[in-house]
Amino acid sequence: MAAPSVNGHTQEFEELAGLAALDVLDGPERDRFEAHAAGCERCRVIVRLDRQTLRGLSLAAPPMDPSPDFKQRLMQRAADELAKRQTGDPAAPAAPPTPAEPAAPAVAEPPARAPVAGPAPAPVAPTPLRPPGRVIPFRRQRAWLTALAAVLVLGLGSLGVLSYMNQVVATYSLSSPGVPGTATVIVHRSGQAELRMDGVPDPGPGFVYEAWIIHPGQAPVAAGTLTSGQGSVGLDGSVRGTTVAITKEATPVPPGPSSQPIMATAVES
Amino acid sequence: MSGPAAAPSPELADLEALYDAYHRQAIGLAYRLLGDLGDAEEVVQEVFLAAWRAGHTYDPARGSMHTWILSMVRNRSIDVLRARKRRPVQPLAEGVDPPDVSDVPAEAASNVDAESARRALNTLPPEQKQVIEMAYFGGLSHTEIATQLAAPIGTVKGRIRLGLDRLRTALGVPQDALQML
Repeated sequence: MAAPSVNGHTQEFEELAGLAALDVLDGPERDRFEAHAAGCERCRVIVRLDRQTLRGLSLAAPPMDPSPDFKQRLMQRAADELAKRQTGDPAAPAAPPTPAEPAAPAVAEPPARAPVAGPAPAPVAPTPLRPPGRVIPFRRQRAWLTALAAVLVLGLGSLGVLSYMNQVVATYSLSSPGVPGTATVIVHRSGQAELRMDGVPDPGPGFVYEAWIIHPGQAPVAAGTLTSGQGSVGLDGSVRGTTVAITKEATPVPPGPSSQPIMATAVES
Repeated sequence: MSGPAAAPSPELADLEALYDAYHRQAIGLAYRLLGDLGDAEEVVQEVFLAAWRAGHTYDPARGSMHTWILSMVRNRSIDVLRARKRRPVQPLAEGVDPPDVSDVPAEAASNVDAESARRALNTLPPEQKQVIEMAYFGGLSHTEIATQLAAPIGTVKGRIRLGLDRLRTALGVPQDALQML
């Protein structure tokens, strides 16, 4: 059914509505569409429905696992935030002063004490206004901070390199119509790869799943076994240009595959 | 006399429940958009923290939280893509809204599972699927798509419109509101 003409409504505005829902509309076109949509209910409804459609489309991307420490980093950041929030609570004990706060001299003199009659008091150590550990001559302090910064930079640099090399650059799904669950070959930037199985029924007592790397024209090379349908196994060596397959084997495992693969995938070279 | 009571801090357990329920799909979407796991994790971390700070909790009965999180992931990933291209970022009003559980059509769309979403995408003619994917997963504008495909802008706009209409039907998004107009 044709839409009633409202506020100069044309098919072009319906096209712009889709672009607005995708959030790829900008510049004068965006302004023109917004001015029109303000008085056109049909366009507003189309944007809303298109956004709902696109929300469904967000599920089309294949699920993927993050780096092994990702959850820990996320939870740590949340815990830090929570701790800060609690420290900022007015009912909470006052936070210790920050290093920049005290206006006292850098090195305090012991307070003058009047002589006290009676038994000699136990010797009392002079109480500096700042903890002794914080009194560092400027030159030494600078050297110490430089060393600390160097250590931090080295540490963070190493972490960064590790994180970079651990990035996933490709994933390949192994599938078989008759086998529930998923299996995925995950290739990292470093070239290392792993096979991850998720939700595949356990092989049963006396059986394991065995991963095989098959180079073109060569015999399958055993890459590792899994005793359940949930877990991962590292794939040694480059898997590029190979076929990765999984068979179900009785233990002890034979030197070569004894049955047809239950799942397999070709990895691009 | 004490002042007004502070709002209770969200529990870490809430965040963990949200994470456990949705992180694989969120990472998958961000990675599909950004092509870099480091960037994808950064985006997903911010989205989960934002949801947690806003007090959202995991409720299996509310599928809308799933699609809301994925919408946030997509929006922030697009911001990253645009920053890479040094394109000005347009703030997205939708991205900051909490999920609307009273929105029945949205609920219906949120009940779409991954398999039916992929199937719906595959029902599109290749030329429509291509432009929808470039816009949705690539964050490309219609003019950028037209340039990349060496196609007229009008053609790209038309394909996107037709593709969205087909997807809407394939995903079962109720269209009553539109048919009444």
